[in-house]
Amino acid sequence: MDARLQQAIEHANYRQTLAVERQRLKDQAQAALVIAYNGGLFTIDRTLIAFVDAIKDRDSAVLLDDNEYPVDIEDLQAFLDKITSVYFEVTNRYLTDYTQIKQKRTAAKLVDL
Amino acid sequence: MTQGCLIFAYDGQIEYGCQAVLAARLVCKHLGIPTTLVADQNTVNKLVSTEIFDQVIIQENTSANTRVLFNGPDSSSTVAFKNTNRSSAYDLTPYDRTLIIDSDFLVFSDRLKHYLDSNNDFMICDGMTDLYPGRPGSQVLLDPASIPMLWATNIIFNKTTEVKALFDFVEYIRENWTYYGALYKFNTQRFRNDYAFSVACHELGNPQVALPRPLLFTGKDKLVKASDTGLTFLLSFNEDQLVKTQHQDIHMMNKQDLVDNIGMLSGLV
Repeated sequence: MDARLQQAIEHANYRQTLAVERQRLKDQAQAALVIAYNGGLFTIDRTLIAFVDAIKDRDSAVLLDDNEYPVDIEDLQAFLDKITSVYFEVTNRYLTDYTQIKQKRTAAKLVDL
Repeated sequence: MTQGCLIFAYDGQIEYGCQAVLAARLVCKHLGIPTTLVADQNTVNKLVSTEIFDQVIIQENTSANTRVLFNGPDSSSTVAFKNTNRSSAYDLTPYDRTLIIDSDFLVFSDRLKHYLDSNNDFMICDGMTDLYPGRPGSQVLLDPASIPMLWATNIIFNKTTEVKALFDFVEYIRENWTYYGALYKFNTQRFRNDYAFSVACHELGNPQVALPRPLLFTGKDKLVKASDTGLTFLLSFNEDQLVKTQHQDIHMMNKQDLVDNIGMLSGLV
């Protein structure tokens, strides 16, 4: 480890590093919540899940994707299963990573050095 | 419909060819799509192996730009680079749906695959998220009195008549660079694909859909560690600060540092 890196580790502000790492995890989770489905792009959030759950008994439905383009969803139950699965996969990973960084008490450990 | 990635690389003082090999290996690992290299013979000759590429297309590019590259807070140099033929991507690509990435764009997630699987004909980044929150520079205008800049770092396109017209227009802008510089009030000292695509999209009524914003860090940040999941950087901003990325794509603009660490990074794939 060179002197400059050593100095950086010694002087890095722990809370600043923690805030940056929290932001990184948030960005990572938000990016992972965007999926392509039937040619459309959907950002999965609680509103989308609740809406699809409310209409899932219909035969099919046209939903507007992130860019307001219409997308024909023929199997709403399959779509609901997909977005629910991705949502919990991402949020569970987010929780795991978030818990891990909270337990790290130095800047060096936060960045795995 | 075939999907694939296209990378342009022209060696100068910076070895873009070896960057392209690394970028292609990461694309293959995280996106699972084939990659085609567009380069001159000189660049290809210097590569130890080109087997990671689905195809290698030789296209000579004689017009060079210069730019200042930073490598850490105290070191910078002016280097030549060749990037003026990106408008030919439409004609060169062997794929129906193409992802273009810069050779210094490192893929560590599968998120671009989702965008490849969407139907949108032309997608381009409309901004960058800085590695360090709050650092300025990610959303810029061509000039304070001009239009917002699009980032040609990532482009996804289908082969359609409309997209063909857009690429043709980018080429037209390149040929009339001084005129468009005056019209849109940007500095014409060197050709920038970002500017050319921004102007073309603007003049054609903004047909693009925004791609997700990759991380950007300025040319001064230095890589200190690489792992399967991400990279750790030493930022030269304010006081020395370390930042780690995880499962996030990154545009590593400190090209000299990227070349210096190519061995460490190649060990990841």
